[in-house]
Amino acid sequence: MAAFEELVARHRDKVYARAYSMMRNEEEAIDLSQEAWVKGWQRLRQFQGESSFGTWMTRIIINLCLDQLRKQKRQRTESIEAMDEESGGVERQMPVVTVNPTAGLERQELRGRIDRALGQLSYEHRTALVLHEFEQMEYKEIAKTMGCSIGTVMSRLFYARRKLAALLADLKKQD
Amino acid sequence: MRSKPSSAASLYWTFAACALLACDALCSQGAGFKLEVQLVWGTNDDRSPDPKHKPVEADVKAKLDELPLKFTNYFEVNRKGFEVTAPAVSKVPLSEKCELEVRSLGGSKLEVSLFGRGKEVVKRTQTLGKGELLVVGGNAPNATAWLVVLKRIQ
Amino acid sequence: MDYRAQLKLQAFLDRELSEAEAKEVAAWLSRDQEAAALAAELRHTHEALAGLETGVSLPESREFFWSKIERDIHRAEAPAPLPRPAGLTFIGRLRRLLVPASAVALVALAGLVVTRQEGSSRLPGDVETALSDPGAFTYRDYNAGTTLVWLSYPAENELAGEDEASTVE
Repeated sequence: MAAFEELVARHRDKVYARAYSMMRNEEEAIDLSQEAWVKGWQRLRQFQGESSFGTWMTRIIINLCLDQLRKQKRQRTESIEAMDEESGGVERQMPVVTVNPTAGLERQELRGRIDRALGQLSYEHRTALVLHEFEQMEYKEIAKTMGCSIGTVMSRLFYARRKLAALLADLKKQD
Repeated sequence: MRSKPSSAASLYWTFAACALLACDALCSQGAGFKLEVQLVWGTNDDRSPDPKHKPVEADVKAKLDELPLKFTNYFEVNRKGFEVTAPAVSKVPLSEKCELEVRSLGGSKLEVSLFGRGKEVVKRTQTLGKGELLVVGGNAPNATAWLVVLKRIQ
Repeated sequence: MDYRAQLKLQAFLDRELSEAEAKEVAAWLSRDQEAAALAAELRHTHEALAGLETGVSLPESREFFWSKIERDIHRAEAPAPLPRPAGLTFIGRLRRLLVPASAVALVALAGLVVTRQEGSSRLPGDVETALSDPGAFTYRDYNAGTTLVWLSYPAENELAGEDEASTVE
């Protein structure tokens, strides 16, 4: 158990960061991180060393977050905007953002802006982005994790990236 | 006073019913039950190089997908149905090098041994209810896996 | 630029295209300004996200966070309470009115309960006797009734037949 506590100490921030990226809520991210570590303990014997322990744990937290997000989606009433986002189309018409909206920003400030922008994406779009950009998953893997087709993954990624660029550009304009 | 004989009679019949049920349960321990074993190839490829290998059935795939395995597809290499009745051992060859031995220990308990190239690689005592699976697996070349999927049919 | 072309451009940047397709897209980018602008936007977004999670830390102390995990682990591993024996009233009546028969009926009932319980796969103590095998791991999914025994040795293809080995390779 002492050895496991040491593993928790070493990887807890990474696991929490992933949970927060997906959930956008500190309390939920902490609770799910806790649950992930308990699951990690219970499944420790199945850890085959094919990936790093940290990667293995982040896969556990990703699945927990996805389960929670799906539950929340069933309970939430969809806004018209969110439904439009999911049905797609708007990102195809967005004008290209030609100026780099993050140029000249301090890392902390940039993080804050991206955080705000990520929070405005639906969970499907945000998850596709997190899995690709932070977990470095290929389209095929993302499709399996999210339970959708590769085409849907590509559409969600494209929408998320374009929306993020537009949101960051808006924030820059407000400066 | 008139109720005494009928309550004694009902108690007698209740006892008789219990004894019959108990006998039935005890006697059924000697009866065999039906199993099915599949040799399965786990992979992330969309198809098997051998066209004879078909994807496993949806219900088996669903259960394999729930396990902590990384594969997207499972193909059936071989399948055998058999019965196991205590105290006999059922031997089921799955491939040239692989054989399964199953022995009933009574009730739903089985002793399962897997042999590879004549060597016992795993022996396990397992309680297996109807519809439940025991999956034994290991690594195969090119980041794939072999799996022996044992299912109780009856 | 149609939507399919936009997605293909994205796939190019994500290195999801075959070599031949990637060459095509690269050539297209070099001659199409609109496509090049979109590619630049997608690259900026990618760069903005890089390293975003670095430096994020869990806002609870090590000891506090660990104490909650430890408590949950112990709770999950605590044995379930024993079930109360059933039918006391019935056995009480039998004892009073039909003493020898009630003793036999009790034995018959006990035998019935034990054999019925053995049919349930949730009985603890599924014994694993892997042969002196530190490389064997067991995982049990109680909801689905599935047990996985995984032998974590490098692939030697011991158990598949020759034909499967050759087709696999």
